[in-house]
Amino acid sequence: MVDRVWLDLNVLLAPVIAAASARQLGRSVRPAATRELVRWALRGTSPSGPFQLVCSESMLAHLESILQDRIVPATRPLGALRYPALLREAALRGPAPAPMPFATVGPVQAAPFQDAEDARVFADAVAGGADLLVTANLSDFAGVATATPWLSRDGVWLGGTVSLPGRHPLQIAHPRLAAQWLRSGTRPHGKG
Amino acid sequence: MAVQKSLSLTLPPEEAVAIQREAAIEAGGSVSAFLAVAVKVFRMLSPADRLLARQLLVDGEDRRVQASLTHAFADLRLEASLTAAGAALVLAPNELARLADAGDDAEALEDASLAIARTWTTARPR
Repeated sequence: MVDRVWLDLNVLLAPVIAAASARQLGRSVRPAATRELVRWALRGTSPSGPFQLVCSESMLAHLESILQDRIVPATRPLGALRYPALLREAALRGPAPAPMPFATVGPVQAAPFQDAEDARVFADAVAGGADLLVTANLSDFAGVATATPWLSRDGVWLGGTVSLPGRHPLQIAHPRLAAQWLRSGTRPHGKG
Repeated sequence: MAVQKSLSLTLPPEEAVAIQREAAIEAGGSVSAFLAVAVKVFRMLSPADRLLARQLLVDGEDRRVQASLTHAFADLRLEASLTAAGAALVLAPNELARLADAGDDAEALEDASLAIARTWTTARPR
């Protein structure tokens, strides 16, 4: 079974920020979970099986605009903006791609989001057929994840499941939890 | 497929050049850029996979080798894009300080990177 995974913008940006940090602070330590998730997305597979990256054109455009805003034009090296293009390619050529752009439908009106942008991310993830939404912005999505809460050992909320009428359930998880599931093949069975 | 054609490195030069040129056009890049990538991909293979890669040229398609090459190629492109973006990205002093505080702990670095990313993504429409 294909894991259809939406990696939220913060997850996509974390490895880039860490790379900048490595260069500017002169060290080699790398984040584990976010880098692993992006690597699996580009490979189209993870240790637990086929991995389909689900993302929208609007999110990729936002990623590109963030990178452009924070890159000094005069010193821009070749390929500094290749990252969003790689992600787009992975989304379109993975093991089970969905066409982009996605229509923003249904759940936007139904879901109790405080922020319109969170609602759009959620709607795009659902419209793209994602069954796992990975984000560090868990609190933004806590209101919609009504079943199967996953907690850390010290009781921190790490994710949950959203049941949607007429659609397969959508799991929402912190990058570390999602990476752990996919690395060890222990993602809760039935993806719901 | 471009990645599979990187195996053409083991072919006679004139044949390899022709295949690599074709692969480069298919990949949308220059011949020299593709060659540089193909060489790196081949070097990233384990000795056993290199043997298998050569065997592939004799025995025909081998899915395991193809998967190894595909993964190596994807990893290489990711590394290159992250390195390029990381080299060009300007971090604010407070962001650098936050990342420095993470020290050599990969999880702490990840948390700091995610926290900074969240401030960037909430500053503008997502």
